[in-house]
Amino acid sequence: MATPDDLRAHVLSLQEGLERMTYYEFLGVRPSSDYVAIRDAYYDRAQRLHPDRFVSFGAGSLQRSAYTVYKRISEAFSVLSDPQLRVAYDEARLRGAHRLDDVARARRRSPQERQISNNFARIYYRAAVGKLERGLLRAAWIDTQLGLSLEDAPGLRELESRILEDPEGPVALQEETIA
Amino acid sequence: MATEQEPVLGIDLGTTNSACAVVRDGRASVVRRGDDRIIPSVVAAMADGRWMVGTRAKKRRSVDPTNVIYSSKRLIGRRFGSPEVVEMRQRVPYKILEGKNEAIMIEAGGKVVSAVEVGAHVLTYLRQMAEEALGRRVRRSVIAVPANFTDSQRSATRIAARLAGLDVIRVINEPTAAALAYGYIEDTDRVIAVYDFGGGTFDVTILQITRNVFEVLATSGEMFLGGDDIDEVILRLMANAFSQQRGVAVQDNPVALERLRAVAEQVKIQLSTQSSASVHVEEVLPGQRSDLDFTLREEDLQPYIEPIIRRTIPVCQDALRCAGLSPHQVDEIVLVGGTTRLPLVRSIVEETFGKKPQTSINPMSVVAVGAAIQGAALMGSLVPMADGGVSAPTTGSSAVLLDVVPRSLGIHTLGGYVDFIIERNSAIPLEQTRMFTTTTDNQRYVRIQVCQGEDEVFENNLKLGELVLSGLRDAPRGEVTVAVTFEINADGLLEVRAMDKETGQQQVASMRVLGGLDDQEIEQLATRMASAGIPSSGGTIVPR
Repeated sequence: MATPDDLRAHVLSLQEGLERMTYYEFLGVRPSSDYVAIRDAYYDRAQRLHPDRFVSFGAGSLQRSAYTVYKRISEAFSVLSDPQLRVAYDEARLRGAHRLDDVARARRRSPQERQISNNFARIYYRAAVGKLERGLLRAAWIDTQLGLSLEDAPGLRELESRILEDPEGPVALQEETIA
Repeated sequence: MATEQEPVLGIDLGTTNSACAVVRDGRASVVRRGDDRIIPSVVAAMADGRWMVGTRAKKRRSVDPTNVIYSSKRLIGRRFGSPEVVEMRQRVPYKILEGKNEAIMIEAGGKVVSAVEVGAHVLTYLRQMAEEALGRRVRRSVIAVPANFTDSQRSATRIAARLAGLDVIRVINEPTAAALAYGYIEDTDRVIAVYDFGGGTFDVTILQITRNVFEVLATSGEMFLGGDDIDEVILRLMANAFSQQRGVAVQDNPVALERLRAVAEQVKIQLSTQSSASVHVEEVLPGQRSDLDFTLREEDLQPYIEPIIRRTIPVCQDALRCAGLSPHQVDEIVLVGGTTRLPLVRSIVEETFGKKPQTSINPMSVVAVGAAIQGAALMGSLVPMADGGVSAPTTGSSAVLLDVVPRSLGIHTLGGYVDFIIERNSAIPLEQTRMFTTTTDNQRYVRIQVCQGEDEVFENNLKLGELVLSGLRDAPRGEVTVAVTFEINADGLLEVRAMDKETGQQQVASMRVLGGLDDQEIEQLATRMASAGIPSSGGTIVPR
């Protein structure tokens, strides 16, 4: 069980790393970690370092530090839990960045994406759109169906019919089924 | 020890009724005044200039309807022109006016007051009730608001609390509070549906608890669906019975209807625990021999109210769909709101989710209890346990509430579109920074319109207000770049700050919230509140 002193030390060490530590380091995971590991690490950090844990310390510099640190934890998770943002971040990291810039993080969603409220359904939608553009009909179909299993969104339905109406669509789907 | 520490008041400021609770000696207790644990969220303006709150104010609805303010929660933090307010103006007998900055004002007793002030009167009543019950000053509070409350509604509620002499240490979502009251914080991961069927509104929220972290997965609701609709059905049945017994129609007589309405609610409450309810109403028509004897059996009422209750099913399905879950994936169903006491509601809930809902905590006070538990947990003094009690402190094992932004936040861009800055369902607290550049030489200020919503077209969203960056330095156009940081804090409130990129100078960024009040107005209200007395009588606290 963490003592107040442990908590303080933990916050201060993370605060000291704000300008240099990567999102992975902030969450205490490896760049190769999968979604589940990242999510668990985030929940673990949230448990210990959420601003609510510092209310009884009273308003002061520790509370402010904890708040700043927690915002970064939250940002790290929002980037690393989104496959596209994670790819963008990994590229930025190769160029020496420790953080994904605001413009890249606030990637514009299309109107169709915006209608999808389930985060995972939106990720499947986006992946399906990308695959469809590259002509990967079968892969796009699977993502669309996975998305639809989570949320019956108009955008996903539209994709589904686009694949079916594609002259190659039924063929591609059939071939895969036989194989 | 808990007794030495100042208690934190957990508050449920409801549309129809309010309640408050505290954690004391390791137990969460609902605050009571006399036999009342539930206070109608009703404020009446009296002829002598005083305000009356609660049960006595509610009784005045039948004698002085235009001076009795109820359902003010539907107005707080909204703009005068918003669709909900337009709807309210058609439904309520009191007068709703437009104030400065599109704020909502209410005329009652020859005075014009803001919706925030009305909320503050109810909160003051709750605070005084708690102080009398506890025998000590109460300052700190945790206040619960609906999960889908916008930024303006949350901040207006906070201001109301401040006016009521309460320091809000946390704004918490109502469904989260309800789940906390049930102590769902043990090690198992669970999905909880909170089915909140109150007097005037219906909301369902899907919460996920993973390793003690609470997340709101989805929330859905109906603005105008509640116990009042059921009262209305009973009222019609009573009016028909009266016409038959007395040969006089009262369906169009407002005074008689108001008299019957108060009784209709009693009939509904009786039918929550009995299979038949009987009432005797004296003088339905004032000054005439016009008593009504009315008996209603549950099975006779059922065909009328079943369609109303069934309207909650698609709302539940919508929330489940948004959360990406099927009904069987929900582990627990928590009931909130007085209407959930009706046996028919419980069976429809069971039918919808395929399992029995939790009923061990009074649905009328479960939110207040949860807010009080969170208050104690925040102060680090107590840790809630599964049975609703609380144990000695063990740092790190109480619940952390991980909330998300209910609606996206964006700004107005060229052509009337929205540039979304913070996306819906992002975990809070969080911040996003945007750059703004001057477009004319020596431009001194930048104005930015801010909205909340999901539509690409700015006008189709809820306009929050206007952000003004002022005092910019003189420079040719395009040479001043201001970095504006939009931050949603742990209470879900928007904060904005700005910095000149070049000089690193902090800029003045002021947000004029539509329908909101500025600091000066709040000060004026505070003075006015201090002089308006609210009558009080002794209170006690009881275990929930």
